[in-house]
Amino acid sequence: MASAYFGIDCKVYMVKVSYEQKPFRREVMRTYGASVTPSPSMETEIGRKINAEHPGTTGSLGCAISEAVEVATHTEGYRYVLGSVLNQVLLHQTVIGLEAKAALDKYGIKPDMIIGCAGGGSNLGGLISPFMGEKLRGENDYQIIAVEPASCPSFTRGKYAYDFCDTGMVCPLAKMYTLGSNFIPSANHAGGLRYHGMSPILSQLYDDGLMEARSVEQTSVFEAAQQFARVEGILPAPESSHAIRVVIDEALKCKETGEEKTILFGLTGTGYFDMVAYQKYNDGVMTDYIPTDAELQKSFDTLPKVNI
Amino acid sequence: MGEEKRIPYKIYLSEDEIPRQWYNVRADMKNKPAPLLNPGTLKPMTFDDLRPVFCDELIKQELDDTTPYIDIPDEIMDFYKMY
Ligand SMILES: Cc1ncc(COP(=O)(O)O)c(C=O)c1O
Repeated sequence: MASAYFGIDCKVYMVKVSYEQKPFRREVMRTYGASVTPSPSMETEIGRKINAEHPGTTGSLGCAISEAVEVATHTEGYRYVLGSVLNQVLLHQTVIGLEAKAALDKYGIKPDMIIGCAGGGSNLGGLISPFMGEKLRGENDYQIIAVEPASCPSFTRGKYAYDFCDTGMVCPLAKMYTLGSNFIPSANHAGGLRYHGMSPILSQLYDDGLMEARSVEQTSVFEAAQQFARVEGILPAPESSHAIRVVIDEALKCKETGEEKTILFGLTGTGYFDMVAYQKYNDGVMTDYIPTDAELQKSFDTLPKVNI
Repeated sequence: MGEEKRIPYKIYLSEDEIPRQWYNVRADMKNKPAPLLNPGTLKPMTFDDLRPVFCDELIKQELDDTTPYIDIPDEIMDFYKMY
């Protein structure tokens, strides 16, 4: 959309499983003028390598990043742009928090809790930034909660370590909460937020105890999504519904204790591209998957050794 | 303080209320996030290291741990108004 507006070429490497399972997301990008390639492709060195080593792989964000970086660095006039994790993306998404705060300030409302979903962490980082700024400067206090899928639990079960941002190991190393760059979430996971790592900014804030994290299972997420749709009229994206799950849980706790709390949360998108996942939930065939410690350990074992 | 304003179900902002600057929370963090490292040398990535990958302006933002507010370019403001 931005590329079309500014008349810039846009080439997208899209995780193969999403390319196939979410054809309408793909078509939206093509409508705005992007060319979309399923990743891993046979167009890049790293894509061919990944395909040779893992025939029939459905890809991951880490693979797609490797391919995009390869093309950006080898094509005149091309640069790599990504949608999350990096500081620059979180910075841009601070308009979310700044606007939320401006809206609340108009009516003198101060949230007690701020809750958001965390995939790569940029939307949550953007939402909380102005509030976290006040907390860091000692001006105000807020309880801040990141919500992630139990099937891809970077914060709640990951390690805070330097790791590769991509599968091809061509990108810089980032210190973050990570499940290891080889971690590929279970294919039954439909709710997004599948990245193995986490924004380095949020990782540091979490490590410093300035925010919390919870993980939730996808059936409980869709239950919250359905309830929200029926009560608020808005059909939420599965990613956003992770936050909604915890918002409902926290509101119910308040109901029990009689405490009144103002909860701010990020409704990051609508769910119309995810009706296949909703269908699974509605048909009662959605399942939950939680990786075992042994599975996670296998991926942790491949973390690069960095002593600094 | 006078009478409290009634809080509406939805609060809308006008075009004039769109933020004109992004807020860089790193400026207020005592413990800064760890720098990106070059996987070959394990040294922090510099502006020049990142140039083949990212746009110049974005590299400056990526590496900036100290500037609290960063102006949003006018062209982006126009886009924000539209969306
Ligand atoms: C609707 C929606 N919300 C949230 C996210 C998670 O984003 P983040 O990387 O900012 O955590 C995504 C990621 O693709 C998304 O599509």
